[in-house]
Amino acid sequence: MTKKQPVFDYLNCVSCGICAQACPVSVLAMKREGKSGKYRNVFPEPEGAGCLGCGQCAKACPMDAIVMEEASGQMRVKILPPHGSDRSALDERSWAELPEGSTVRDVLKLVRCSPVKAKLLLVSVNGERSPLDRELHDGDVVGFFFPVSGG
Amino acid sequence: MTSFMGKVLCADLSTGACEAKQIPPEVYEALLAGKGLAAWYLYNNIPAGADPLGPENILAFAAGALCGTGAFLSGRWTVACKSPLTGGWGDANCGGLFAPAIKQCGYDAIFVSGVSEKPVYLFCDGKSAELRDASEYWGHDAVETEKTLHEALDGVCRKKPCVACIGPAGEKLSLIAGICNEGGRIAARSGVGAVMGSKRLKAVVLAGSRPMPCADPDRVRALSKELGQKLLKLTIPSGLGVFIGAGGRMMGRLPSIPLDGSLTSIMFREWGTPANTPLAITSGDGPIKNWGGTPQDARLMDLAYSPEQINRIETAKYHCYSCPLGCGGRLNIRGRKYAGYDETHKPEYETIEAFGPLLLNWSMDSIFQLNEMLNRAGMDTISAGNTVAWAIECYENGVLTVRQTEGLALNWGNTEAILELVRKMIAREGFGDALADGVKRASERFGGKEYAMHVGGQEPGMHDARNDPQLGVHFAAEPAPGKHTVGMSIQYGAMSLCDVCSWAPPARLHLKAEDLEDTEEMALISKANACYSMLTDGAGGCYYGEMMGVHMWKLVDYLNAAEGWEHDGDHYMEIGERIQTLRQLFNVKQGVDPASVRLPKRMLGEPPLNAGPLKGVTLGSHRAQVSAHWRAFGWDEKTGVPLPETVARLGIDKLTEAAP
Repeated sequence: MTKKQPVFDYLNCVSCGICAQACPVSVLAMKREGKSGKYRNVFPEPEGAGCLGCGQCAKACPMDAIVMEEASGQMRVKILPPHGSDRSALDERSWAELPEGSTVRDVLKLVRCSPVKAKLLLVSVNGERSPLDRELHDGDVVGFFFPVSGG
Repeated sequence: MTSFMGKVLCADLSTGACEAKQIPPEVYEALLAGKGLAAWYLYNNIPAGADPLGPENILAFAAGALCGTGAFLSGRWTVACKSPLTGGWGDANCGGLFAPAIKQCGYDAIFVSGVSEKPVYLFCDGKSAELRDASEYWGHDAVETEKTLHEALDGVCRKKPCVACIGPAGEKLSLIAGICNEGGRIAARSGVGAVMGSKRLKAVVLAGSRPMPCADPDRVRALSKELGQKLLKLTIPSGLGVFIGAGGRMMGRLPSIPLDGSLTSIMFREWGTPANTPLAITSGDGPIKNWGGTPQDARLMDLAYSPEQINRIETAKYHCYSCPLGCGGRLNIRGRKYAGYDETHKPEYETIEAFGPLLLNWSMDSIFQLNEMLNRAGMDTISAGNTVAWAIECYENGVLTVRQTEGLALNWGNTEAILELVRKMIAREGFGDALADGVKRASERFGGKEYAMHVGGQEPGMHDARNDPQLGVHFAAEPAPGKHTVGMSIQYGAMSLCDVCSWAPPARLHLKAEDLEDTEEMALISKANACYSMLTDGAGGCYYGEMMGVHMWKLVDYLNAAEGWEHDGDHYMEIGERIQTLRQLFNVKQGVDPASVRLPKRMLGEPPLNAGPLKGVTLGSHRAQVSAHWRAFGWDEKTGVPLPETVARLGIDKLTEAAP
């Protein structure tokens, strides 16, 4: 059996730190900086490779924002694709699997967005404006805004 | 199964023995953990007349009942001891990560007695506990100590250790010293740091990873999820902070209205406690010019201390364990005027008020530096601010001469002099040495007692009893006098306690003058407020959980789910009443006369202020209100001593018989 790893849903995370304290080896730390709504905040993220895969963090999370999944060299990101994209690679909650080390450009390929259109897009990763070559990490939320798409 | 570990760790520093003791389950049922457990143990084990800085005093570190169950806002830990400031019950409360660390070592509380010959720190990893040599850390400030201990133990422990330590102020037995964790979160009040310093205990280092039990974790988590989802949606547009002062101007004049707890949560989420500063400056809630000034003395100071200024340099929010709110923050203060450090915790309202308007100091930058200096030294900012304010007023009125202050021109608002005086207080140099033991000792030595603001030896928190007479009752009638977190009308208005407790009167719209009446209703309000605060401290809950109200932070439901009980609110309020009565009994045992604890004349409105929202307010009925508060608790209305029938009704006599 392969080892499981925590996967985080940062949109539902309230940064309470219960998971980090529940981690028996302190691999999980409140070190990842990002935005929750408009606030600059800290989020849990495993530091280094010491994760035991014990699932204590997922068990402790009151917001059900941590799921234990088998490590596969793949990562899961949430994609809010631009208007008119191909959504077939996304699940019903808009998450998709990508190989480790993928960038925002790979996300655009996945949703079959035309390169011309891509030049006009505004990109946000975890609520922050980002360039197209930004490397993504597990649990990231990638949003696109096409200025002429309407509301 | 309940959420209690069932054991406490007792460390005797004189002999070096560390042993675990079982606690009978009926103690938890009657008092929960946290402050209740500490009150029970200290009442039974500190002999009458013990020297607060001697070996007989016991220092308690206690985690609350809800800690580690998945309940939100339950990460507070309590430090308790016999206070060297007041000679009676002393406790302080702090957040950070230390509370779950106590429980993960397998204990509900740690009790430290005796005095060590050389500096030591207590180390526990959940399997064994021992005292280790701390000579190399002695003299380091709190942030440095934590950092070096982490470095020394890196790789030795699987779990990252949690450190609670004292800084130089505690080592030098400054009676206003506190205990720090997490680089500047501080359990500051009642002189707990001096007690730790007197025991030569530099730090408590905990690295356990035991699971923390809970009767029904799914039910607790469901309650938390409901609260978390509400909080995720609560937000307020940025930039509104500059208008808070204007709101305070209105608040100072209008009748008291019951608030929705979600309003306070929004404010704490957006700005943290500094949101209160402009409000306090303009509404009359916050003291100005050593409690003798009016908002006219600090005109437009609300803009100088706008919380938006602080948000601008905030690098990330800081959350205590299990807190979805995150009222703290980390600030980048590099390159600011007076700054000697790169980073600091966001200064709390109490700190800003104590070193801003109280001293008529206009420099926000100096507050960042003072905050970091005092956090690192482990000194209480409330007490230190009140003491500096006394010194300034004495200097201005000729009680202190420039020779006595060693050349410091202590005028109102002299920022450089304030910074230098605080530095001297921390180092206990010259004139600062006399001030490092708080305002009562300083005024006994130099005179100027009429300017010394203290209640029974402890400096009051930064809220004015003239604005909120209910708070005055708690300042004077509390077993740890001068604490501002036990009750006040604005808190009562936000809590909706009447919905969980059958005898708590509903909060209603009323004129502020009615707060001055010594009616039975007012007595019940102050009693209910104190009982709920004690219950929260027993549960390890946060004051801002209380402020959210019982409909947001459902303490009764949380406790029922975590302990597997099915009690109603009245039962839990009785637990709060029991904790409060036990603390009062502690004071009586230690020879403190509760009736002798008086508010300073200035806070009673003698003479009344001549301008501002508090113009002409005098708390003429204050003593009658205190008597009514004691009567409501079933304590003697004249002496404040709990009556034998009250002690029997609450079952305290049986509990103390079962003591170890």
